[in-house]
Amino acid sequence: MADEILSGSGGGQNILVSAVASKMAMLLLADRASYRNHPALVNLGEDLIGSTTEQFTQYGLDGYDLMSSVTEIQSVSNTALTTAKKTVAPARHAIAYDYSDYMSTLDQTGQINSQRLALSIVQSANMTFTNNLAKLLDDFSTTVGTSGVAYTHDTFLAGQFKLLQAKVPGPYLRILKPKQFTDWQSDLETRGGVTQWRAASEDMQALRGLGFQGYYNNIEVGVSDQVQSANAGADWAGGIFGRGAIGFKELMITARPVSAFIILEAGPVRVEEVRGGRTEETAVRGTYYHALVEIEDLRGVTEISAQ
Amino acid sequence: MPVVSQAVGTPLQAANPSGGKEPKRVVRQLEASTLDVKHDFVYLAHPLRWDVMMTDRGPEVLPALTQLEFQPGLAGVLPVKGEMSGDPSYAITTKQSKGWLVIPEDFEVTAFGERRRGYRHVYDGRGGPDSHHCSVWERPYQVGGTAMIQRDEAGYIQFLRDVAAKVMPPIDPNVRRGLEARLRDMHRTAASASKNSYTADNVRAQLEQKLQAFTAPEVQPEIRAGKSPKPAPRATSGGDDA
Repeated sequence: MADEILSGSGGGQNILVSAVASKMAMLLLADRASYRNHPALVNLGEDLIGSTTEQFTQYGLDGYDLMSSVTEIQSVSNTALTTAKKTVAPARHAIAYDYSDYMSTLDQTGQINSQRLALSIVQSANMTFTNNLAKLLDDFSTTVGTSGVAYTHDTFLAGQFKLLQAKVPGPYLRILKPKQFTDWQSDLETRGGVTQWRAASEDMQALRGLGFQGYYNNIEVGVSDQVQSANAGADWAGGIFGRGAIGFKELMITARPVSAFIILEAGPVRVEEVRGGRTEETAVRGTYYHALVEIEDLRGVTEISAQ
Repeated sequence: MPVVSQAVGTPLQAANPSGGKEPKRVVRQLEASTLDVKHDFVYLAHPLRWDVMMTDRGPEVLPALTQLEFQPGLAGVLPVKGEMSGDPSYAITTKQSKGWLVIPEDFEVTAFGERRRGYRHVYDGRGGPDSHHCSVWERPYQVGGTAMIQRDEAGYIQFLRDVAAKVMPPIDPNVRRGLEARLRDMHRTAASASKNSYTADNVRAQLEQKLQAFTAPEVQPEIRAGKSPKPAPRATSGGDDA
């Protein structure tokens, strides 16, 4: 036998190329869980005129001051009004992709075009927000847990108790590093007492990937890879906070130059397509002005545990 | 230590008969950095934030520091034109007004056996050159395309000791008792509630070691005594139940 048509020799070999690119497009692993819309975060609005920064004031009113007892014709002393000021300064965060017409023509997956990249940019904005939020979790002066020791159910409860003791109203959001969450799962798995009978304990064992994991003790538990390290890389610094601990301000860019070709405007996120002069290249540029700030320190707790 | 390898030019041949320039072959970037963007930062300490660290001397009560990252838009850091890291002046002032203490950027430290001024350094990362700042006790490197960190724990612990001695006031006795109570609570519940051998044995043993840090006597701060209150007033008229 000779001259068979085979994949590895003769005529067959000439027909085949080394590899055919698949039309299937898959996403690489990344943290894609956003917490921007959680009600524990205070949205400080989208307007800013006359300055690059905005100050807002907190008041010690509505029960902050108690009355003093005075007799019938005695003059009452003035009470000093307690206030605090915070400043937010929205800053530009941006990302750009540049592709050629030639590459867009050859792309068999349908990903290399302005519309698809614009959608991706919106998610990049979401994750930039979450990254900044995670950086504030280690900013609270109240901490629970301890360096070098795994996150346990006791750490979970200690954070919760600190908030209650500090009079913090809900809703609460707890954001943990995946390792902190799995350490907690590990402890919860074989916990005794009332914990073992709770439906939430069982529910927390379900594998859901990153993001929202469910409720435990009415606390929304989320897992984010954006949670930062502490103690020069020895620990993770997750956290729990109630409404009013952290606020954000986004800036809606209202200027619309005639030459701008805006392909997507999702609230404060704007994506423009910019055509290269002579290179047959297209840039897709996304901009997101935003700021995050700790509003009131006692409304949040940093949770330290071993990496 | 550069993490991003540069695209390098490799001559195709030694001699070029046309007399033109050496053609170059661009070699694909072999090792892209996986280090995320991390802006410049300053370490902050707070009189309420302490922890017990296991060190070569045993358990030690040391400050639990945080980093204020100079990311524009974050915590009041203002953008600076043309700079990746922003102006932290306002953010630092705000933090100081809430009791945070700034550890000077040129604080003298020892990292990986080398005495130096300043506790941060910068690497190339996914955000481009000089886009990943970290402490000098962390040295990123790559294994199989994954970022790993080489850590100098002893150096960092010494830094914490120096911060406690030179920057911070001694730990307040009430804060110290609160820290002790926190660890005792963790120890008590780890021992009683958990059936998990990892938690019940490992965590409990770690906490037992840490609790030994509280055998040393407390340092009592000098606190001014309050004034004597005025005598309680008595009603001059009204009913007499006696």
